[in-house]
Formats: sequence, C-alpha cells, structure tokens
Amino acid sequence: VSLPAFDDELTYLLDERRVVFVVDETLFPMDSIYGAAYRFVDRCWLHLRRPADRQVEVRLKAKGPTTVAELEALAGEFANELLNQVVRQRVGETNSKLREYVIARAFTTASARNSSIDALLAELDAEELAEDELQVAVPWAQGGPQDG
Amino acid sequence: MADVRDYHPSIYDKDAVRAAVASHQHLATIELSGSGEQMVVTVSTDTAGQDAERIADSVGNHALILTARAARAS
Repeated sequence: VSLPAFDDELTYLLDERRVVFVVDETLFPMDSIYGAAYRFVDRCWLHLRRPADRQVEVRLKAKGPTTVAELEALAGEFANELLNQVVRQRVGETNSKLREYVIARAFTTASARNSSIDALLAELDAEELAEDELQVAVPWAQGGPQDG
Repeated sequence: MADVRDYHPSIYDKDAVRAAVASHQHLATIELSGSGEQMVVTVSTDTAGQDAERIADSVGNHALILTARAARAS
C-alpha cells in the first residue's frame, strides 16, 4: 500500500546543530507557537523570525552534540506540540462559559455560606449573654458579681 | 567575536527583549538597537570561540520565555 504524497508535510532545513522550518500563522495562531516554544526552551535554543507576513520561521538549535535523526525528531515533536496547543486553546474557548459559570457559582455559594455562619455566631452570642445568670460578663464597676 | 540577531516586534515583546538583554549584560557587551520595525541585539565578547553565540542563544530563549508569559497574561 503506498501512501499519497502530501504537499503540506512539515518541510525543514538542517545543518549540524540546527533545524529550521516555517509555521503558517493562519493555521497555528501566535499563542500556540509561543506555547510550543515555551515547552522546548529547556531542550534547545530557539529563535523565531518573520520571513513573510503571517509566517513564522522557527529555528531550533541543539544545546549540545546531536545527530540528524535527533534534529528531525525535535522538529516533529515541535509540530505535534503546535497541534496540541491549538487543541488546548480550542477546548479552553469552548469551555470558557462553563468555567466562568462554575467559578461564579463557587463564589456566590461561599458568600451565602459565610452569611449563614455569621448569623449562627450572632445567635450563639445572644444565647450566651442571655444565659449569664451570674453576670460574669458584666464589669464589676457596673454592678457585676461580688464576693460575699 | 560578535553575534547579531534580529527580533521582530510582531513576535517578540519589546520589554521582554529589553529584560533579556539586561539580565545578560554582566556576561558580555550587549547592544540593543534598531527601530520599531526590527530590534537588533549584538552580543560582543573579547574572547574567541562560541561565547558570544552561547550568550546570544541564552538571550533569545530568555526573551522568548518572557514574551510567552506576557502573551499569556494579556
């Protein structure tokens, strides 16, 4: 079985330590490129350039000795991460309303719970004062409990 | 040795590039120049070899990290 040839496969340039490829910003928004790049800063040196409008050139340079196969794998992983970032963004946008609702609900519930706790505390205070038959809470100068 | 790199303002946050340059100035002579269209960072070292390139690489990664964080925060 022979697979059809795709023109839109990731094409890249290689030298001893570098792999360079161009990302179309109409397919992968800038935020997804930043997100993917951020995940690679510990593995390689990155530099982004603007060769043309809506295009971003990604340059990945190995931090140490490397092989062609490793550089190719790096480019492939970066392309996968780009896709991952786009999906994450889409899911985030889709769920944004639900997320806002859950947070709003959590805050309103918390404030309602706080007000009921305040009411309970006030009730307890009132009960304690009412049950103070020995008038312990009344200061001595105002006719509080005396020895004798 | 000198290493010259351009940072396009539509990709890199200007403040991020400035901060990255500032945080590496104790390692080498680093000059930030250019206009609104392009920022150019020149790293110069007295020593031969790959020192300038390595410092420029580090400046680049640092600028990218700060740019990505700024983009996420906005």
